[in-house]
Amino acid sequence: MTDEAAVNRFVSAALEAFGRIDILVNNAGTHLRGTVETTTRSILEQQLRDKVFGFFSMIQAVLPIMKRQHDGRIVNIVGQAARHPHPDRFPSGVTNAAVMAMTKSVADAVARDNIRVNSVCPQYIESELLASLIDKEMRERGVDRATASAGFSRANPLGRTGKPEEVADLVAFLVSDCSNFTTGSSVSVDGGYHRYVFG
Amino acid sequence: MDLGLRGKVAVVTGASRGIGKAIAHSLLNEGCGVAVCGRNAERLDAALIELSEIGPRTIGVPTDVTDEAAVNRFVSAAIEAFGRIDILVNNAGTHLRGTVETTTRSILEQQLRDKVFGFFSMIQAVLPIMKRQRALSSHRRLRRRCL
Repeated sequence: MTDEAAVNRFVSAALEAFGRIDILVNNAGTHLRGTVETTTRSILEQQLRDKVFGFFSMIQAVLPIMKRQHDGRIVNIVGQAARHPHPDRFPSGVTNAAVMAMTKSVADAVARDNIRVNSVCPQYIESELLASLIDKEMRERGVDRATASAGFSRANPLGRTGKPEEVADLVAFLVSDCSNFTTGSSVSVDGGYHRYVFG
Repeated sequence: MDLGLRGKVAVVTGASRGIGKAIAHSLLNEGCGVAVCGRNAERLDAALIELSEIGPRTIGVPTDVTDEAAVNRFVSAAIEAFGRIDILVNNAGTHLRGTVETTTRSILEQQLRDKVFGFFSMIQAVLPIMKRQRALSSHRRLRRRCL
C-alpha cells in the first residue's frame, strides 16, 4: 500500500473485475511500539508510511471512481492510540492522530459527492497482534497466559477482549445505507476503554 | 507579569519572524536566555539584531530542524552558550494548503517532515539535557537537606 503504482494496479484490477468500487476499507498498517526516546526516525517514518501514506494512496486512487458513481463509502481502521497516545505508543499515537484528521478532512471534502468517510478505532481485539503482545507479557513477566491476558481484558469496562467479527460488524454497518447520515465520525470498538465523554 | 522565568534558558525554533520571533521577544522580556534558529541566515541575523536590544543573552544558529545533525549542532550551541536548556518552543513549521485530491505525496511528505520530524528531532535532542537537569536539581535538594 505504500507503493503508489502497486495501489493503482490493485484498484484497476478491482474495477476491471467488478466495474465499480462502492466501498474502501483501509485496514492495512502496522502498530510499532516505542517511546519518544526509543523511537528512531526510521521507525516513525515506517509507521507514517504504512498508515498515513498507505491510506492516502488508496483514498486518492478510489475517489475519482466514487465521484463518477456519485456514491462511495470509506472506512479507515485507525486504533485507539489516536485518543490515548500512551508514552510507549508514540509512533502509532502520532500516526493514528494524523489518520483521524485525514478522515475528517476527506469526509468534509467529498460529502456533497455522496461519499461518506468514517474511522473505526478498535482496541483490545483478539488479533495476531494482541496474541503476540500477550506472548511478550508472558515472557517478560514470567506469568501464564491467563495472567498476561487479564491485563488486557481488565483494562476496559466490559472486562473482556473483543473479537475481529465485532469490528467487522461495525464496519459493515458504517458502509451500509443504515448509516447514511454518518460521516466524518470516529467510532470506538474497545469495550468502553476510552475515557472521553466528548470526541 | 512575573512568570518566574528569570534566569531560565529557552530554545525557540522558527524564530526569525512572526509567532516565533514574538515568542523569543516575550521570553527575553521575562529574563530568559534565548537561543533561536531559522532556516534563512539573513532573516535570522536581522531578527537577532532586534532581539539583542531586548536582552543580551541571545544567540542564533541557522538551522533546518528537519536535519538531525543540524538540530544537534543547534542544541549543542545553546548548551555551550548557556549551560542548560529549560524551555523548548517548537514553532518551526510550514502550513501547506491542499485538498486530498490536490495534495501530492511530496507535499504531504514535506508537511510531515517539517512539523512532525522537526518537532520530534528537537524533543529528542533536549530531553536528555532536561532529564539530567532534573536529576541534578533533586541531588542538590537532597544534599541541602542532609547538611
